[in-house]
Amino acid sequence: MSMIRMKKITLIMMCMFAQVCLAQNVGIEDKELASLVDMVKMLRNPTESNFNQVKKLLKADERWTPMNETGKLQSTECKASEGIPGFKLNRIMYSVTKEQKRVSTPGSMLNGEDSRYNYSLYERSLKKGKSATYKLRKRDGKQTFVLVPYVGKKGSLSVLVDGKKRVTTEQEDGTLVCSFDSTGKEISLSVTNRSGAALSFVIINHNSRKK
Amino acid sequence: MRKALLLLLCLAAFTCVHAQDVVASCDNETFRHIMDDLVSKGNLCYETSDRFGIKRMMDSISTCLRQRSRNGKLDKMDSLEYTADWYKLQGSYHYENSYYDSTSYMKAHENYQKALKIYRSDSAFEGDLSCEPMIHRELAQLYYKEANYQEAYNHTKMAYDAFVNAADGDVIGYDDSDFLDIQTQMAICQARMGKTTEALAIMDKQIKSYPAKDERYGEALRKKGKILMLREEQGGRKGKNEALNCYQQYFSLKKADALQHFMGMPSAEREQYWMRVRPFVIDCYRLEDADAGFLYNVTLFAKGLLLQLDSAGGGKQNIHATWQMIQERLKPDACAIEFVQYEKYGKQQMGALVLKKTGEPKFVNMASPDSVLQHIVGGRSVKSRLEGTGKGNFIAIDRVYDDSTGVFRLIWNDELLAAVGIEKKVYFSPDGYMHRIAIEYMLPKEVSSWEMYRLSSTRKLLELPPSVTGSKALIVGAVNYSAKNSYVDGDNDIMAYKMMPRGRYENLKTSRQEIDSIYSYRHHTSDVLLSGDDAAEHEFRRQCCEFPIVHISSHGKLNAKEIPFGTDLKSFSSDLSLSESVIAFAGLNTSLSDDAFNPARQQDGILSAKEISSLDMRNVQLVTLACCESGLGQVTAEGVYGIQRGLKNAGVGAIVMTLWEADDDNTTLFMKGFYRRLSKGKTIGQAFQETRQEDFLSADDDNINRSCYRNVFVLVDALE
Repeated sequence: MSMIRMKKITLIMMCMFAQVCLAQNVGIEDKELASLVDMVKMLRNPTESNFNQVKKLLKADERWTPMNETGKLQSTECKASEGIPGFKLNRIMYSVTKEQKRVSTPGSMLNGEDSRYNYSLYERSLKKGKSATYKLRKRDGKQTFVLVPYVGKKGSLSVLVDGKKRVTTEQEDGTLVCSFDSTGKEISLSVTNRSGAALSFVIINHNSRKK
Repeated sequence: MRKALLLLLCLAAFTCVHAQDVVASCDNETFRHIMDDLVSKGNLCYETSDRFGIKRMMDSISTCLRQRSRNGKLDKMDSLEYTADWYKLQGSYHYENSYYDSTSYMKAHENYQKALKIYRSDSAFEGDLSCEPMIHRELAQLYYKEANYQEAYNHTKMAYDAFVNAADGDVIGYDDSDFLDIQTQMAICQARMGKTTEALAIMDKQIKSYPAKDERYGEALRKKGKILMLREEQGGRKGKNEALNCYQQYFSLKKADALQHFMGMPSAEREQYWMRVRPFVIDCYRLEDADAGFLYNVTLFAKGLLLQLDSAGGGKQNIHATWQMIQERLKPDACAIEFVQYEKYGKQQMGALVLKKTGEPKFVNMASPDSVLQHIVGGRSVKSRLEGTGKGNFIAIDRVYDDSTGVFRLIWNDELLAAVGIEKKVYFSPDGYMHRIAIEYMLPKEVSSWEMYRLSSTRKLLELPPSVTGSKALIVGAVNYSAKNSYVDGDNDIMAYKMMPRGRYENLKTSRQEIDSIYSYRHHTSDVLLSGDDAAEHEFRRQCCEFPIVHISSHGKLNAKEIPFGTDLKSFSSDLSLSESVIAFAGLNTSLSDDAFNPARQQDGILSAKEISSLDMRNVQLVTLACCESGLGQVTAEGVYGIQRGLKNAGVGAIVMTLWEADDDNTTLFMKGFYRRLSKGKTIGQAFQETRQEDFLSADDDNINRSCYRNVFVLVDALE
């Protein structure tokens, strides 16, 4: 095979690969955010090696914190005891933060004002057809919220930010991306489960603190 | 010398300033790492009951916060979080200090409440299981200690609700260890409030969740046993047998685990291991006569662990010992007694586990420690008479030991006498107040012929008796406390130096005569005499391990604010009474009077129990201490944490020591008589008993034949 032909094949493959990557991370510009999203999606396949891999990645990365400000369980949400399939992300995060000895449970110290972290994430589970509103601490600057449903189906979730539609991108697997500028006030995130069954999902936030 | 000292001071100052500079000016992340590390260390000190360690960490935290704030770099959330941590540690410090100081208890409350207020002031702390829920747990412990079980339950419930929320949110599993601990705490509170059915339901659920060999399975069994005993004590359904079953299962698991792992653990881990076992030991004595054989084995096991927390030797056989093994070694005319002090019905109790050559051990109820200590002799309680210090207290001591119809009968009650029966040799292991009171000298008339042997544990009967026939001795005395002290060695117990009261120690007048007499009686060519300037700490440490006999004639001191009478099961490394109990060596006055003296670099003439315990004295068969208060210290389930404990940990065989400040002349008389008899081939026990009998009890001189003189010395672990 000639060198030129080899180079053409390589170029085509790279483009295809890039398209795949782009498709996976459509609407997500920030690399760290994209890698967190990919990591969460890995947990859709609940194998022990995936759990261990995610734990390893989270342990190595200290720029995130659990988004415990999403608050106590609401009546429209599912309890863990109901056994709804999910990412089991919160437990991994709790385990990592405990090992890091920084905090012993998720959520402490994260709020939009906490300059230590630019990334936060948390898993919740909504009952069939139900909604929940999460009041988040004030954030300033460009915000990106990504909602990743456990079931990779388009249209599983819908979200309103401060009562408004802010979804800029919906990926093929139902992942929603919302990007907007925040003006330093509390953010209200209302999520609705439209999947037809109880559904777990992860909220990931990138707080850029930049205008 | 002065230049070197100045350089040292400058270096220390520079280091401190430099550290503060780092905290004051570093970035937020570095600052938080430093602070989190200090908080973690403080919490670890709390777990090991090291209240001085907690205080050190608290001081460091407040200094760092102050420095950072002065530089304008302390942000709001850090200030809130670390101030709350500081209050939490201060509460923990006072909680630990409440064993020593009753006012600390309220201060612990106040500080925990301040931490709680901070956590509630900002929603950033909400959901953090290490913040508000943990404070509720600490407050629950305080209320529990106050016997305010309703409040304890309320606070545990608040912590529990937070954990339920976290479990519902799949943050933690329902089998999270902290979550289960809280449920257990709730169950115990409920049991204390009389709700034993609910409490047992919680424990049964926990027992079913774990595999049979899991440590948590054992813990759940133990707690269930405790609740069953509480139910019975509250007048409910009898549960002793069921509780016994739980405890037996727990003990079986624990013993197997200890035999496999304990000896391979470093001392810090052994200490933590003991901390986990000790609640079981405390609880199961309440079973009393349900199974005396089982209790006897538990006692042997507990003492086996305690004697090896930081010691040179012993090994598995210390943990492996059972009453059956001891019974096999007992002679027909002998019996063994393990005295045990424990709590039941909210009060301290005393019991005796009596083992004879045939049959199973028997449990005997004795008079409570309180009734013995508060017994009035000549208008004053026994306790107040024995608490006095100095030679002026000799009359008070005489009154106690002469009260043959009062105190003697309380201790040696009819049931105990009947249990021992006609046996002639009694090997006993004391507990509680018996470490301060020589019960072997308080026998009622009808049993005055008993030969009494005080042991650190009746497990000693499995060992060969210490033997010193023909052995060489290291004889230390006539110490010159004002000798120059220039030996450079950093291996000092700095805490012992700091706690030593400043003052001048006079050379003991009769010590020269005493050691010269011993030396000449023995006439042993290999004996070594250390006296005057040569009786230095470093010399003693260098040589003591080579001699089967060690005699020390010097000042002994227990630098404790008070000497408690009760049983307080404190862990080894955290109990500072090992630094509080000291023997004085050459140069003591020099080091104490020099303000610039640095104990980190020079020998200070103070040999503490802690330093002794680091020596390997397994070759030493006998130590005789002509030192005041050498038998005293903090009392625990194993024995006295003082010089005795230090020597035992070092592996020493038998010990002769004092329970109060001894009169110099009579000390010399005793030691001369003792060593004279030893040199004639008597066993240690024979030499000791005969000296007491012939030189004191039978003396015509009333000035010698006094209880305060003849009963001041006790002999431990002689066996014959």
